[in-house]
Amino acid sequence: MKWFIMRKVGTSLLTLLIATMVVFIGVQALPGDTAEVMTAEVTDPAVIQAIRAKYGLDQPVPVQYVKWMENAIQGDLGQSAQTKLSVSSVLADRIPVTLELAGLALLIAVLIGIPLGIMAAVRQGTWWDYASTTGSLLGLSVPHFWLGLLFILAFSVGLGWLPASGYVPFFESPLQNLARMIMPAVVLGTGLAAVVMRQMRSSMLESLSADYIRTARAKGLSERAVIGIHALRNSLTTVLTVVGLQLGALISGVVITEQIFVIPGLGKMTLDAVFSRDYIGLQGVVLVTAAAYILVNFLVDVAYVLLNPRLRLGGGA
Amino acid sequence: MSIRKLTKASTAVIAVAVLGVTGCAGGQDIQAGPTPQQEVSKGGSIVVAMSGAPDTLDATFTSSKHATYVLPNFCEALFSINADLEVIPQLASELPTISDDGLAYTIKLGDGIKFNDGTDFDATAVKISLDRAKENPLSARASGLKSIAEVKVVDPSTIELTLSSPNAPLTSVLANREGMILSPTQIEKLGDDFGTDPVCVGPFSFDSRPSADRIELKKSEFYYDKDKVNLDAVTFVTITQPNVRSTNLLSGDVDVANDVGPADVAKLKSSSNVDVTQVTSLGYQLITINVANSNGAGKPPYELLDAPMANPDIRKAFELSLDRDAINEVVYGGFKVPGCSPISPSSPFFTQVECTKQNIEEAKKIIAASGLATPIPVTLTVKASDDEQAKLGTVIQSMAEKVGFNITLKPSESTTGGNAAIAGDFDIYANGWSGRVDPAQNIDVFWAPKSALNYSGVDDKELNKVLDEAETTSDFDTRKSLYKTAVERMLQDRNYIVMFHDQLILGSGKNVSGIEYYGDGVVRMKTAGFIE
Repeated sequence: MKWFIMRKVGTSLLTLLIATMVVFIGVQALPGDTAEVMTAEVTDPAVIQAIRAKYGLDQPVPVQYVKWMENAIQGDLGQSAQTKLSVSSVLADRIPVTLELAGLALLIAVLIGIPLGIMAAVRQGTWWDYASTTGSLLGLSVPHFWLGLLFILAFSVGLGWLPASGYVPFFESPLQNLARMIMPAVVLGTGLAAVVMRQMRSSMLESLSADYIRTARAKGLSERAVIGIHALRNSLTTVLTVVGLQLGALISGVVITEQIFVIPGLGKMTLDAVFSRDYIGLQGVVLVTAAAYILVNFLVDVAYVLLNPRLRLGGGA
Repeated sequence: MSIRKLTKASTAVIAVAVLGVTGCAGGQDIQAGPTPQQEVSKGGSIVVAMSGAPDTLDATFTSSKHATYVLPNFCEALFSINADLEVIPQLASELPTISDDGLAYTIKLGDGIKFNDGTDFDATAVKISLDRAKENPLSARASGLKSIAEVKVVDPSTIELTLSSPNAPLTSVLANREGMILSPTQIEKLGDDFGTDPVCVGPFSFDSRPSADRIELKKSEFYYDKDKVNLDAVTFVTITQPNVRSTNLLSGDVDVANDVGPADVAKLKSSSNVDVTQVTSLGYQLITINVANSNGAGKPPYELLDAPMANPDIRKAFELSLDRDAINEVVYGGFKVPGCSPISPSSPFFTQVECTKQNIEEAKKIIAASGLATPIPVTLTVKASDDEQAKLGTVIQSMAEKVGFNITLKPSESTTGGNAAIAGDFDIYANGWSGRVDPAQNIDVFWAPKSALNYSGVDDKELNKVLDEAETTSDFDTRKSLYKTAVERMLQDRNYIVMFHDQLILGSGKNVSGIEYYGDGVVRMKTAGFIE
C-alpha cells in the first residue's frame, strides 16, 4: 500500500507539471496579443510595448515559463495582467467558493443518484425504474444554462423564495450562504446525479445477479443485508470511479453555473481570464484546477483499493 | 403553497419555456433621457450590475470601458459633462482660459476640496496626477495628454498647461480619465499599485474590491458636496450575461442594471417593479474595410491592397446594398439609431449628413462597370458567440448577395478578431467604438494614420488636413463646420462605413431615482437614492 501511494504521488506530480506546460504553451498559442488585449482602447504603440516589457511578454516562451514556475513554487503566482490583483490572493478567495459549490453539487448528486439507482435496480421493470431512468435522461439532456435561468425565474423572480445571485461566505451567514448556493448546487448536481443513478443501477443489477448474492440469500440473510451490504459495497467501487471521472464535467459545469448565478469562484475567474488573455491569472487557475483534478483521482484510486481488498493484496490498482 | 404563488411560478416557468423568443418591443417606446429625478431619502445601499468588470481602478492605467463607467463615482476629474454632453467644470471652478494661440490653458481649481483620505486638493496634487499620466511608461493616458509640454503650478488654486501645439479637444480629454486627479499621498504610498486601493475626490470612496467583479464604495466623509449624496454605499457587480443581469433586476437582487440588452427590454417593461431608460450613446457600430493595411494598423506604407474592396467604387456598391433601417429592425429590434457619421446625434458637434440609402440597381450597375467577375468573394469577420453580430452578418450577407457579392462569414472571438484586424488579416470587419465627448476622439481612433486602431490603413492627406485644423481651432462653430466637411469626405471614401449609434439602456428599480445617465454610459450615483 505504501509503495502504491508513493508511486501515485510521483505520477501525479509529473502529470501536474506537464499540465502547466501544456496550458502555458496553449495560452501563448492563442491568437491575440496579451499586451494588446490589456491595452484595449489604447492607440499608442509605445504603451503597448511598455506593457509587454513589464510583464515579460517580450521574452521567449520557455523563459517566461521558467520564471513563472520559479515564483509559483514559492507561492507567488504573479499579478493578474488584467486587474493587477495578486493571483494567489484571488485564488485563495475563490477556491473555497468553488469547493463549496462542487461539494454541494456532489452531495446532491450522491444523495439523489445512489438511492434512485438502488431502487431502480431492485425494482427493475416497474414504474419506479422507468421514472428514474427517464428522470436521469432529462438530467443529462437539460443544459445547465437553461436550467439555471429556469430556476431563477421560478424561485427568485416568480416566488421570491431565493436570491438570484451572489455569494455570502458561510461563516458570515450560513443561512444566506445556503440560500444562494442551493440553486446553483442543484443545477450543477442534476447532471451528475443522472450519471450516478445510471451507473448505480447498472452496477447493482450486475451485482444482484452474481453467484455470491444467491449464496447470501441461500444462507438466510435478510434482503436488506443482501442489498445494503453485499451488493452495494461491490457496486460502489464502480460508481466511485465514475464520479471521479465526472469531475471534469463538474469543473466545466462550474464555469457556466458560476456565470449564471454570479458566484465569484474559479469557474468565473477562468472564463474571465480566457477572454481577457490574462495568461498570468489563467496559469494560476489551471494550476489549481489541475492539482484538484489530480488529487481527486488520486483519492479515488486510493479509495478504490481500500474498498476492494483483492486490489490491496495485489499491491495496487 | 398558495394558488397565487403557484400561478406565479407556473407563469414564470412557461415564460422560460419560450426563452428563445426575444422581446422585440422596438426602441421607441421606452423612456428616453436621464432617469427622472424624484425626492429620495437619505441612506441605504444600492447594487449596480455592470456588463463587464473594470481592469484596474487606476485612472492612469485603465483601458477598460467598464472602468470608465465606474470610476467617476469615486474619482472626479477636472471637468465633466452635463446631460447635453457639454463640458462643465467639476474639480475646476470654471472652464479653462485658453490663450489666443491655443498654447496655454489656465485652470482655476475649486476651493475647500479634499481627497477621500483627507489630503488637500490643490494645484500641486493636480500637477502630480497629470505628470504621472503623461510620463509613466505604462500610462494609457499619455496619448491623450501628449500635446501638454508642461504643467505649471501658478498658485495653490491655479495650474497652467503649456502645450506644444494647439489641441482643441484637450478640455474634453480632461473630462475623462486623463483629467481624474489622484491623491498624491496615496500615489506616494502605493506607486503603480494605486489601483488596488485608489483614493481620489468623489462622492463615494473606495471601500474594497473583494473580487475582480465586485467593487464596494462607501459615502465619502470628505466630499465637498456631500450634502447632495444620499446613499451610504454603492456596490458594482459584474454580471456579463444580459439576460441574467435583467433577471437579477427583476428579482430585486440588483437595484440597477447597466447595458440592458434589447432582447430584455420587453421583459423589464412588463414588470411593475422596474423602470427602463435609454440614451443615445456617443459610440457607434461600423463596418471596417481593409483598404491599405498590409503592415499592421497604423504602420505605413498605406498602399492600396490588391483586393476588390480596395476599389472605392466597389465599396460604394457594397454600401448601396445595405439598408440600415431594415437591419436595425431585423437585427436590433429597432434599438439602434441608424446613421453614417462617427459623431453621435447626441453630440453638440453633430450635423445632419446624407447617408447612402439602399439602391440595388445602382449597386449592380457599379459592379458591372467594374469588370470584376461576380460574385465577388469577401470575408466578413463578426464576433463569435454574439447573437446580434451573427444576425448582422447574415443580413449583410443576404443584402450584399443581391448586388453581386459573395460574403463568407467568419465568426471570430473578440480578441482574436481585433488582433486579426490590427494585423490586416481581414477583408471587412464588423466592430464598434464606445465613444468619447469630443469628435476628435471618435474620429482619430480609426482615421488617424498612425492610430494603433487604424485597421483600414487610411491615410487621406486632404482629410488629415481638415482634421488637424479642427483640432487646433478652439472656436466651436468653426470646429463643427470642419467636422461636417471631414465627415462628408469620409462618406465618400467609405474606408469605414458607420452604420448605427448605440442606445444605452439602463434598468432600475422603481424605488430608485436620481441616477445621472448620459450618452457616455457612466452610471453616476452621486445624487441617487431610494424614493421616499
